[in-house]
Amino acid sequence: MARHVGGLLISRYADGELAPALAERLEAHLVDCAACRGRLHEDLSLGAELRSHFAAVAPSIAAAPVRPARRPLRYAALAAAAVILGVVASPRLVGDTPSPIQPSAGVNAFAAGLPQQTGQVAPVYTALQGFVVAEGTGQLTLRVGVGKVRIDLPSGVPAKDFPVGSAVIVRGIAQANGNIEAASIQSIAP
Amino acid sequence: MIQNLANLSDKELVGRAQRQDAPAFGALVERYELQLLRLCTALTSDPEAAQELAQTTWAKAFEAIGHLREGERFFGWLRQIAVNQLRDGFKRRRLAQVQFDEALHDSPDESPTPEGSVLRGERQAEISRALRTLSEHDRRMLALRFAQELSYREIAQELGTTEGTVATWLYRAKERLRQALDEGKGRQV
Repeated sequence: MARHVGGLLISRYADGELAPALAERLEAHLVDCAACRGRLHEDLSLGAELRSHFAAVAPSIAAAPVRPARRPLRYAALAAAAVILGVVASPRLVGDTPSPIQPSAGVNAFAAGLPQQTGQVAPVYTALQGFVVAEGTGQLTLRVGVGKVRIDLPSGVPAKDFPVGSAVIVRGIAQANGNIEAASIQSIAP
Repeated sequence: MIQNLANLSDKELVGRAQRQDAPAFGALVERYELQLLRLCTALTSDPEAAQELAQTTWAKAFEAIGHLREGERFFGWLRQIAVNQLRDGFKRRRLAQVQFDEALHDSPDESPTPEGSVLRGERQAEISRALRTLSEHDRRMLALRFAQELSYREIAQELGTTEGTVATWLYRAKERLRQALDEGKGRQV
């Protein structure tokens, strides 16, 4: 590698995503190339700053590495939201429920990734913190813990106020369809 | 003993080291000592810094060897520890700079000063501002990688694309963020 290495290659190396053979060739080049070494250091430094930034603005998310969910995301997201951030039970149940399921049982069902049965799960008041990954009309999709959850925004609150990538705290009611009907939503970053 | 161990594969040595077999770990050190030092020299260009980075890397590797699942990829794993140590070094240096700046304000005790908090807050604000100028797509890529700590493969699965595409998207997002940070600095000067 006599000439400078491409930025893409350096970026992959900094992220630990370069194949070993290529990594070795890059390292051989770095020994004699201060410019490429400088670029690598910049990339590593930027990564460190971004990690610190996300950890500061949304610690509960950044501190817990997640892996792609291996069960339906909506249940997993609610489980994360309910179990990690705490759930306050609703004082009432909806629908005709011959043997009403207690809210905690509903949460456990979500945690276990079990399919819910319409009319048997009580709505629960919940608070969760996550990153906006998509915006829609009157709706946001948040990444929370190991999965995603859809938020129905309060009327009059535009989705564009919460751009993708920003961190938000939502308080509201978990619906039987898995969505959360937000009573309040607050942007915390960026 | 080492002579016999030298005939074992990386995977076998890692397996033994994971069962608290110190000579097995010693054999791994012997096998990769020079290679790691060359790597650290490439990363730092400074012989003293390289030596220090290599030592820290071995210490971390010794602590963490129980977590290594694919013993045959030992050196790749070691490489990543070295790169992470270097990255953490940048983080520590930035923190040290803030502490140095705090010291200039003659703080009588070691508690964080308002000035230090302001400096940290200013940098956070710079990054926040720069992130806001990026597209949703770029912000999402950076959040998946640096907040969620997903690998390229995991991001590719999440977005239904290939690892190569993720690498390109992430590289471009970093470049645009860097550019936005530079422009932000330019406006402040």
